Amino acid sequence: MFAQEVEKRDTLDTSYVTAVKEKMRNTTQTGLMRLDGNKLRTTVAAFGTPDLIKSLQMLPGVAAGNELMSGLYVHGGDGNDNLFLLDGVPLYNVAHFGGFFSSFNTDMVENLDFYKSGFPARFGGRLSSVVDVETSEGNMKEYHGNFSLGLIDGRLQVEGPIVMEKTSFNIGLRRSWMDVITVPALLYVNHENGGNPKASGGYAMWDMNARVTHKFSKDSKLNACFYWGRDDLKAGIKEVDSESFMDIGLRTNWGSLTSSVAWEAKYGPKVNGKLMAYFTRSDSDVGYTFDVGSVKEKKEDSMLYFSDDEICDVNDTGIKYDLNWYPNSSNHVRAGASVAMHNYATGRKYEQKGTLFELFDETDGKDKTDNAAPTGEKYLAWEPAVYLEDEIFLAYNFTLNAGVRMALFGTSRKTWPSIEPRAALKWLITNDICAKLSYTRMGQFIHMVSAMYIDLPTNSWMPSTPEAGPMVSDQVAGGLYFTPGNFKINVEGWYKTMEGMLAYNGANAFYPPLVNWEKSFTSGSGKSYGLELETTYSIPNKLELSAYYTLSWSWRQFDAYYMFPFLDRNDNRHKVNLVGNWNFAEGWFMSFNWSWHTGNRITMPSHIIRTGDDYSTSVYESPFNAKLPDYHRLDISLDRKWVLFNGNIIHFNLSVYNVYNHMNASFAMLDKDENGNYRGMAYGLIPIIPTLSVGYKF
Amino acid sequence: MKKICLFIALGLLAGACEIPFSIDDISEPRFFVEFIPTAGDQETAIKVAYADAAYAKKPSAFYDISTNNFRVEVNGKRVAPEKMEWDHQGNVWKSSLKGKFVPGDQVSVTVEDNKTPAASASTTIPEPPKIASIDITKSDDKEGSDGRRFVVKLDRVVADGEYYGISITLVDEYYTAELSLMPPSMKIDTLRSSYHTTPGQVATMSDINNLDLDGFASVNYTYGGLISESSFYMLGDMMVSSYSPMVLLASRQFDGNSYSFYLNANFDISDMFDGVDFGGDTDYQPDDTYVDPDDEYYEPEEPESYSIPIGSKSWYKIEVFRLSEELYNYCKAQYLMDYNILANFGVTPPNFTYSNVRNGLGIVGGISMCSSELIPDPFNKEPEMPSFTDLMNMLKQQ
Repeated sequence: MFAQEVEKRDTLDTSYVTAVKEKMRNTTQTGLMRLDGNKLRTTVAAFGTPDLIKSLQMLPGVAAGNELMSGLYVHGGDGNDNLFLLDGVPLYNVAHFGGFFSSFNTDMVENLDFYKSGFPARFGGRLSSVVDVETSEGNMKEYHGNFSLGLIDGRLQVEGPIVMEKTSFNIGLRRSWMDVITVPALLYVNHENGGNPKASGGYAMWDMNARVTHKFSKDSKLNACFYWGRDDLKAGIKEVDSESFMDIGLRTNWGSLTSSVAWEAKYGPKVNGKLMAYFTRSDSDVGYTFDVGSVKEKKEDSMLYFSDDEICDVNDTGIKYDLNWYPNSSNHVRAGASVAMHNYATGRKYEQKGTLFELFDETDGKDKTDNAAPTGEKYLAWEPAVYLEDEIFLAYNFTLNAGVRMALFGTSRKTWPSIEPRAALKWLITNDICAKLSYTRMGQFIHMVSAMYIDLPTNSWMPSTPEAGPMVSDQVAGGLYFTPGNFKINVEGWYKTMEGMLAYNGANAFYPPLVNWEKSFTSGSGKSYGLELETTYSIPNKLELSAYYTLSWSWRQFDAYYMFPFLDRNDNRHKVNLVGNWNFAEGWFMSFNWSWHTGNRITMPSHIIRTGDDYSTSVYESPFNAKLPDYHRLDISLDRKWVLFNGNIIHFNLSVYNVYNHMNASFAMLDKDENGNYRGMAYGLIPIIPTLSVGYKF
Repeated sequence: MKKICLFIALGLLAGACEIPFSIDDISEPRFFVEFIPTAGDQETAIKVAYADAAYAKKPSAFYDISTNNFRVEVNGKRVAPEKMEWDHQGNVWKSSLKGKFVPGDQVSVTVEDNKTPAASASTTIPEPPKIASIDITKSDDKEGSDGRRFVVKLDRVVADGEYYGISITLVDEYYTAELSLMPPSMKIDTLRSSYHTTPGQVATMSDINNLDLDGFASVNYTYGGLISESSFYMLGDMMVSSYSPMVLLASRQFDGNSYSFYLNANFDISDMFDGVDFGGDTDYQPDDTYVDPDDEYYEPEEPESYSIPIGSKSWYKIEVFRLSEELYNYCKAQYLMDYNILANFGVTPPNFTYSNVRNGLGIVGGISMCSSELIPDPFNKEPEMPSFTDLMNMLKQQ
């Protein structure tokens, strides 16, 4: 059981490697959770679509932030400090539709490793966590597929051989239906208005995963992986009368693309390696148009037309090589090197035209038309890195994983080095009990320019600058791990510090400036510590019950906000999750999740100053000084499968999010009760959400 | 279909439910202190207020404060005030301290009584800046009116971690056909009212997303006091006109020793008798009164005679302030309190809570300043008397 969780599957199995792996049961990493694709696909889904990030939110040591969003605040992190790897390629934009859905199609996921501490030296570039997602290779012998239709989206996954037992493919597609659903609503609204004003709009998201695998021999294979996801949001209103018209439109589209080619080979009984070239891209375009003018003889004459597009791109191209070497039964050496070229581009395209501007031209003879070509700034950065780690089996059942990662981040203005030592020590006390201790330093050279806690397409990634340098974290973690019988009990603690964190300190929350962006941010530090308890009882293929508890503190210090340390917004002091999966009858499967945690923190006026008999004013003392009401909800999912005469499977799933309709606080404001006393008033937005989905597996 | 829509609407209403909750324990009574000592002979205003815990169940009382509750130390030595007279509005007590602070002075303040935790804070009086030169050039903006571009150079390069403020006063003389001088001078909120002015950049509408937003941050300052929209009633000071808008500047906003900004100083003088529109914030009337447009009893007086505006001349006075870091942070927080309203909904970082007062609220922050002389606009033109025919045409146009 331990081995399944803590040791990632090696691609190339040999008798020697297997033997070594047997010895390497219970690797040294702390804070590592492994979830396989099957488990992910059976978790409760908010809208009938299993969600990888929301599954991670249930785990101990993780705060979820805003309800239904894809926030992942790990060990006091900021949410933008998680390294998401999709088949080894960094993915920048990990959510659709403002964070309601993650970008990962669970139909395609083979497994994922989630590191919260004890990061091996082969990972780097983010402070708080590593989410290493691997998609499934296609079936080499038979064609299979899965089609499902949920409340708001549909999914199709197909896999099979291209060349029997040599080459395979696996393709997954998702698309939302929300734009289809909004059509009748808009038709109704426009019908009620008589077509004037006329509203238009819609939202659609889709993504595609593809993986092609070719085996050259039993010791050598090639994988080509591809992901492309897009979001498209449009809204507009147009009003026309006999003399004039007005047309206002909003258009936003954003998305990600990753592609990689990886060659894995075994060079001998003790050595294997993987060479990968990759490209990853994240882009967004947020724009609007405003058009007003006159109408003469049913012909529209634009007098004032504005069009504005804010564009932000990140393009990474990289190559990396990872080597596994088993020199003897006491050592497993990993080494690797990589180099990535980051291209960050921000820009905007602005256009104004119309007869009104031409009128100005005639008035003073100056050209008032501004049909600006796209403007913006580009940043180029290079990031070479090398790492070396060795898993050493010592005497008295001690195992040490020691390593170091060294990276450089070079821009035209400055180059930063980062030397990150990593160490983890495990003591196998008995076959069922072990203790672990780890220390890691992590560096992060990029920052998310975001003014809000919501995933918006206006959020963008930027490289470090001399004014906003890299972030660094140091984390010590340790724990005790028991596996008596069908139980697994883990107790882990951590202490983590973070330096160079950034927080927005400007007034334009929707559009944080992208040129000279660092001027609107202030730097500070963070500190987090806590204790996690994880208990699981499982009967294979029948029942699994897990209980997670987290006791944690998360602090921030931003001198420009407040001169003393203050608790972070996601300081959920206590967090409990009960998760269960029950295969209670043939063809029936039930899962549930009950979440409870101390409420998120919010900034409320703390003092009242009387300025007269009937007048007073309120004052804020410190950030995040108040706690929202405790959060809790229950989700239940019921799955029914029928095996058809031809062996295919049809399945129905009923998922109910927030079963007992507990309205959890989304935000709060100052209020007065009937006696005139001040109190907090929170507002809950997310009610019970039942969804039904149907699927067909062939 | 209507029933379905009604059902959805009711569902949404039910969804946005209110959840009252108690947060009684987030605060306890504090002193609020605002003390901004400045280098020079200026009197420094003092504001001390009793701040009750917001969620206290009993109504807050009115308290007294006197000089005995207030202690100022300069470089570790207590300053014996000559005579401090305290005035109050509710629980906000105001006084002023006569004292000559010099740059480098470490000023500490303690406020205490027997029922509220003693509050204390300290600051250092910064070295005053020195203006080396001011260049004014003509700069057309893209909104159809010409403006001025100012380049203010200090006598030395601004170092990292230094904080400044800048304020500009525009003095205009208006000439009418009678060639009488009216009004002789006028002080207006030029930076705030010139809505497409962004100190540090020549801004056009197309720049709106690239603006250096720090350049927008401003507070209203007068010697020893600040005022912001949020703290207006707390300060109990209705004399807003005595405050000048001070744009806050961090060192990174300087280019070496110079800071440049743009001022849309030119407005249509024909609007003078209708109330000059300075961009929406100010409705200035020639008789120097502010008119409440919602006042149903207001009846504009008919002018006794017609005066024909024919031109104006302008002068500028620029003040440069050096702020202690804590004062800059506090001023920035005051500004953001008014404009970053999304923070109240918990979707953006809260950046309006700064205070350097231990066990208290408010600010003790040093400031020093220098000022230019009145600088005539280099593009001033001497108004010329129009012909009688032109005057008649201008009168008709009114």
